[in-house]
Amino acid sequence: MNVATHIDNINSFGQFAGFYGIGAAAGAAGAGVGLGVSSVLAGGSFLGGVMGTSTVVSTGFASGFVSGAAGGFTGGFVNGFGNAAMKPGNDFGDMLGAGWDFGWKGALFGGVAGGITGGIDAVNHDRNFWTGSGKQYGVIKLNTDGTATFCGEDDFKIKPYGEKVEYGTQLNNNSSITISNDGKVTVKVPNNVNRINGIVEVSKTTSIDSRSFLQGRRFISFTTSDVNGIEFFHGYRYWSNPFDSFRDLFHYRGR
Amino acid sequence: MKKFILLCIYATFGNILYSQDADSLRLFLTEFQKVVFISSDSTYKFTRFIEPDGKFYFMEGFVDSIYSEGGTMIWSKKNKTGSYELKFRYVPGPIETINSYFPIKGKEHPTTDIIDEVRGSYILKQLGEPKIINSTDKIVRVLYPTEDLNLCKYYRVFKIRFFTDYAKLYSFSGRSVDYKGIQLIRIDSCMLKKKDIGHFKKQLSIVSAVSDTTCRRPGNPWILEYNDSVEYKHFIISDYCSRGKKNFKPIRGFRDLIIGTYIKYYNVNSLVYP
Repeated sequence: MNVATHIDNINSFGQFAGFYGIGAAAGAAGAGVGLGVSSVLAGGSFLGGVMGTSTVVSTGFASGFVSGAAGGFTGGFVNGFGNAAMKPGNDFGDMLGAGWDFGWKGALFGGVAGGITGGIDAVNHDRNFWTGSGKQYGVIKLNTDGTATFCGEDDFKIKPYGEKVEYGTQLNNNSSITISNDGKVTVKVPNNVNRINGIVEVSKTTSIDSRSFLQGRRFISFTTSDVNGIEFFHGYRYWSNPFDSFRDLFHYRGR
Repeated sequence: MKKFILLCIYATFGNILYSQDADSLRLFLTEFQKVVFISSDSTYKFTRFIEPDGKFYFMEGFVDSIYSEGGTMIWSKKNKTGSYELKFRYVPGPIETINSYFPIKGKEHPTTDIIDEVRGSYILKQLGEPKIINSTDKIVRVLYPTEDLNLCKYYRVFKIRFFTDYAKLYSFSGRSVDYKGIQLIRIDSCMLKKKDIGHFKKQLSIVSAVSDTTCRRPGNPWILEYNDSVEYKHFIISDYCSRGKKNFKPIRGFRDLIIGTYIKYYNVNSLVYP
């Protein structure tokens, strides 16, 4: 590619080899740095990423953007610096200037491309597009004061029955729930939860009409025979919802 | 031709009508079994549950064998709604015994804290792995879940055995897809190059300076254990728990070296499928 774009400047085999080598070096350096940074963001080693032996891979737009920008900058810098060096009459300052110029453009394009690729990778692995964080399934208790408590399925299922009951949500007098006169219950999905997609009714005397179950992005609604009862809401959240730190932007997945 | 078109229409309507029973109440039957977990000086009671899709988990204590009702679940996924009748069924028979693969000293561990040891011992037993606590061979072993946050159905075990002048890397794949629970589905082994053996020995010397430690929650922990024929150590660590904590870096590095070497030797892109 680098040879093709500089074909007018090639007058000898030496120049051909020079431009060819610069293109190859830029590609290799960019890819290596991008993979290395990706591995570091995932908690692995830089060398493990370059060698392809890292056990984890960073995923999501944010990680993809950073590793793509790092790789793009490196590749662009090597390309710009090297091509400027091939031009007769250029001094070191010219080479550095060209390196920076190609570098920031490479970082911009690499970042956007890496971000989109990382986001798609995250979605393909059932993760959050922006951060790459994993889905944690569990039980959501909507407290009467409008707050919510999330318990992961691995923790919930191993609890004795007496403790499981504590995660049931009281429908009546709950600020997250509205109940109409015809028994239709509308539940607002709390902010620290991404989706409620199931209800477990343990009482034998109460029934929920499954055909009335409606799921929206931030709400669910259903009709129950007992609006004073207790229901168990199942759903998921992406890990680090809400954010605690800058680190929560960058997630990884196992290979 | 007309007959063929009519047949197609009937088939289409038939399929639509047949599919409508997706909204009817279906059975979701979870089987459970009593399990005794034995450590060096204590015996613990647990109940193992296995769901129809193979998801398994352990609960403290023996659940009454007559327990059967779990309620009704209504769920929605991708605009499809369905209902499940949640039932539990006791599996009669002798109480299963699981001997601990890990050193647990008496009541210093609350029962809820040893759930990872119970699960780990169950998986290693199912995969036919021996205990390495009292081994006279030099062995490093990692039990690795392929799901980092939720209940896991697919586990890998990576083991390195060091002999006098060579070392072998073993990989065991276990999968749980039905009531049978976790089953061994594949074993691989290969000889390690001298250069890689050197890397392992170097990393082992770093890790040997770290004392036994755990960092279990949140997430599914992996278990790394080694016996260098002088001392035995084990570490129970989840990636989410150890994120950003420098003191776990040598252990994570060792885990990465073992699994990374497997990836390099077998040229695999994914650890989830064998």
